[in-house]
Amino acid sequence: MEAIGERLATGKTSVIQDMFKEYEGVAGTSRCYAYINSVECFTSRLLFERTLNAWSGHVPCAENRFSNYARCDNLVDFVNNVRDLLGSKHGATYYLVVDQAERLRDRGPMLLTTLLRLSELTGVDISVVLISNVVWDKFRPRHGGAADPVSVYFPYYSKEQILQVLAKDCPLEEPAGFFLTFVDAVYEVFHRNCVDLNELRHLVAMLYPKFVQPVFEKQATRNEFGRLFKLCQPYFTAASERLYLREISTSEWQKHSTVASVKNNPEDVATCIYHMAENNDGMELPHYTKYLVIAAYLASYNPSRLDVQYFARGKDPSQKRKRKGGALVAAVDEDAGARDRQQLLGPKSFAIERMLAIFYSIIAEPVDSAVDVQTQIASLITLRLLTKTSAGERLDGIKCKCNVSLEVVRGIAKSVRFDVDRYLYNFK
Amino acid sequence: MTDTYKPMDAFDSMTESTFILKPPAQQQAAAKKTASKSSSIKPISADGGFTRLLQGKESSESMELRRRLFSEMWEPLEKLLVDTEQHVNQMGVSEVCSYVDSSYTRVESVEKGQLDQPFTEMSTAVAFAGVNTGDHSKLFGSLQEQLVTGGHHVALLESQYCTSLACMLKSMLEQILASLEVSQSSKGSGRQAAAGSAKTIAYDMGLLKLWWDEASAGAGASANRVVVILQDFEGFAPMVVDDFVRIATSYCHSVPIVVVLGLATSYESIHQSLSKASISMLNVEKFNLQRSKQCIDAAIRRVLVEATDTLSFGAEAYKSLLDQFLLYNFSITGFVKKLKFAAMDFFYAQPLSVLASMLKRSASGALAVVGCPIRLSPEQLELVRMQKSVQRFLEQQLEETGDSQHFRLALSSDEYMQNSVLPQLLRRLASFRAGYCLGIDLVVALQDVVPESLQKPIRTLHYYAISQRFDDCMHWKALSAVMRRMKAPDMDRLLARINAIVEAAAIPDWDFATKNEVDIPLLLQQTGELLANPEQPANPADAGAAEPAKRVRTRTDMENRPFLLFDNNSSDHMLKALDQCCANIEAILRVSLALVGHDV
Repeated sequence: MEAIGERLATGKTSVIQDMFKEYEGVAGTSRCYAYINSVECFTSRLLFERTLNAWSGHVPCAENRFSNYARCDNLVDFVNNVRDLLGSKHGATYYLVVDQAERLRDRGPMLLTTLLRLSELTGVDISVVLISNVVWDKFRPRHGGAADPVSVYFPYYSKEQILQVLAKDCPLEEPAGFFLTFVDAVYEVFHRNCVDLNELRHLVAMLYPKFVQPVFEKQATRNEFGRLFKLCQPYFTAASERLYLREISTSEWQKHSTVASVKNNPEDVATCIYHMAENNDGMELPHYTKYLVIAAYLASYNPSRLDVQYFARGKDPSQKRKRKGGALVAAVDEDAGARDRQQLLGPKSFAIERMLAIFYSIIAEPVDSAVDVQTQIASLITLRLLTKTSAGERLDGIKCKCNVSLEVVRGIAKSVRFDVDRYLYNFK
Repeated sequence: MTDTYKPMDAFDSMTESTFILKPPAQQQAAAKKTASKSSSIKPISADGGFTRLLQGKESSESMELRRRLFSEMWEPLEKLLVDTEQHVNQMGVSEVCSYVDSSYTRVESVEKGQLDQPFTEMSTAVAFAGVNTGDHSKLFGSLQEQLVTGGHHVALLESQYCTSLACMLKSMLEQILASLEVSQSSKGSGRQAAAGSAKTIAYDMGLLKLWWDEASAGAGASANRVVVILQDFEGFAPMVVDDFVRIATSYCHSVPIVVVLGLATSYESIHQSLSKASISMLNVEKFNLQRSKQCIDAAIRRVLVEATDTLSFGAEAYKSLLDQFLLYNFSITGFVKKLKFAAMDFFYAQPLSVLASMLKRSASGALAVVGCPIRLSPEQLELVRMQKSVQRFLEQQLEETGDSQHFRLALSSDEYMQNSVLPQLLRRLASFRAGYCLGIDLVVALQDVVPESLQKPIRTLHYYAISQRFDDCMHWKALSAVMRRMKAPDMDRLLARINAIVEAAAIPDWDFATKNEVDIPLLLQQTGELLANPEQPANPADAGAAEPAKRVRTRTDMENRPFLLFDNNSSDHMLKALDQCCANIEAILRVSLALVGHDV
């Protein structure tokens, strides 16, 4: 059987786990099912040994020196061990539940096929349940041979169902109707962008104390929903931009949002929230490294054919300034290729030599230590500010991409008083 | 060659022309063992590489003295640098330790209407450690040490050893199980045997849970945490970290796992590496350990400004030392290495480095001149005479005193040079160093009362002080301009601060240091009296020179440019007193920063 839900938090795992727990109680048998998380069991050996532990009821502990039921390095060992363990137990059906089963497709061509034909191979009644966000066709073994599972789709919840789930989070001391009104508002605000039930629950948990805060501060009554929503507006704005993306964590939100109160000044709330996301987030780079990042960005986003116009050190400074004018060059091509702008297409690869040429052109003072500059390039690749696109073993003609956003580059350029916008082609 | 052909040895291949023959594992292990037993760097010779200078004419005593001086100077200096770095990093490290201690404890909030969290998030500390990745090992090593001292079980992971999830978990579990083993053995429990068998079992997070359950079963609710430090987060493969986070979060409700992510760049790299689902499982708190600039400032203060009997650099050498740090890598290790190279160059290659033995710290902390333990050779004394600073000093003395006999003897008699002139020169040097430290302290005190935009770090102040004369430096002028706009209460506070600094300064003889030009303590006393009682000038000679009111209110800065006077409500006497205070403080700064300075 395969349980499929195309979205997260549709209850696949919990429903199946609860079902098997119930089944164990009803059937009076224990140890009939093994629950395996494919991410956690990242090798086949772990998967096999955990399965055997679960079916045999073996628990590793200090007494048995933390050993497993049996050592299984490959499929043959596994099949033999299953046959030895369960071959004599006729009549009972054993279940193997594999969560995030799409990960199994990367564990060799035969694993999934063998698991789905385990019953045939061992002669034991074994049923395999795969839980996945991916439809079966996407991770079906290419060579065939695997029995097609029965697919059970877990649809996403309707609004009513979501509200019912969220209503269960209502604190005991709070009126349920009031809480539901708030939950309904949160759903209406966030449901277009946030489809994960867990995330909605998180947002409700973070925002509800802010929503009722004016009630406890005697600024509004529980009946004045409009006023309460207005007072909570800065928090909703921050949540839609920062909290949902986890630029602000739960503890930071709980710690800092209590500092500001709408009672004092609503603008303070927004400032405080934005401040907590920006706090400690500065990237400080050495002086030449900043220029290297700027050069990498220019090399990644400017067409190489315009390098001479932008960066050549001509004899006539006035001509150079004219040529440098990014706006002038951009105006020519603005109508022609607005949709093909590199800014929209993302960074493109460039040769390190080109980046260095731009670096030596834009830097004001002469740089003599070539070794240190090369070391800095290596550091930038290690820090993933540059992404290497050429093959790892290639020593000459290395190509990279710039992995830094425009905002960051603008910040870096500002710190060295370099007007990066003048050198960017066709940027808006 | 048939299909059944099988290569017999490493050379027996037709497709490869380059062979890499690695030594067998046993040999490698033996080699490692031997290498670890013996020291990694063998001494070049019994003298530590010191050779006789001056074309071999240098005495063996002099060479031995240089070797001893280098050792005596560098070892405490290195310790000082390490201590300084640790001291500066201590605050950030302590913050992370406190966070780990308080993680997974429910904080009672005063806020009403709180909801329970829908799922358990894993406590995660994001430590911004700066781009100087070479220094991170020391920083995170010290964090690990402190956490272990606090009773936590810590695993420090480096990306180079964690190329896959299996390697990562193995490395993590080996470190944590080892720490558990140590704690169990200290308690006298009999679980060590089981720990030994851990090598034979698969490393996965389930094992950690089993171990944790076993370890915490007897101890009850434990305050200990399992801390996993990812020292260089950007170096880890994104998939590996993402899977690790998913696995760890599924266990954090039963094992209190705290993850410390060491970031060299910015928070954006976490968003680039981890999926939204993984990030949602983290309860992140940010910490700033990026203190390389503070470290370097503290090191420069203690080594180049305060520690007067260590190295001293000229402007160009100092700029080169600083450029390497500021322009390229922010590396403190690199800075210390360069400093050591400079010290080695001085003691290995300079015959006059033996003169450092003549400067010793007295019990009071002041720098004193003692006799040189060896006699300088004629070649060494000739080198002393060839120094431009010595030539300037002798010519200046001749101009001032007209004592040609002294001049002649200094140039012709080695005995006279060694016994009379050299101690005098070194005394001047000692006075300069002590006064210089005072001068920098005064500038720092002055900077504290000026706007932040005008404040410079001590590394820059030191550069200004050694590269420019007081009257030429724009920064001193800017500070002075702000000082001239001060109101009386601010000036009073500044004077009190300056008084405290001057009193604490260990300068044995002010008269010699200032060449009898300015008596700094007396000048400060007069300035204080003048400010307290502006109607009566401290110097009665000034009382008659009543300045016209218009002149008092038209002020100029050090470059004689007029500026707006803000404190227009003060009386003329007070304005004049303030003006005099500024002039006095400038005089003190000028004297202390240069003292007998630029001609040393």
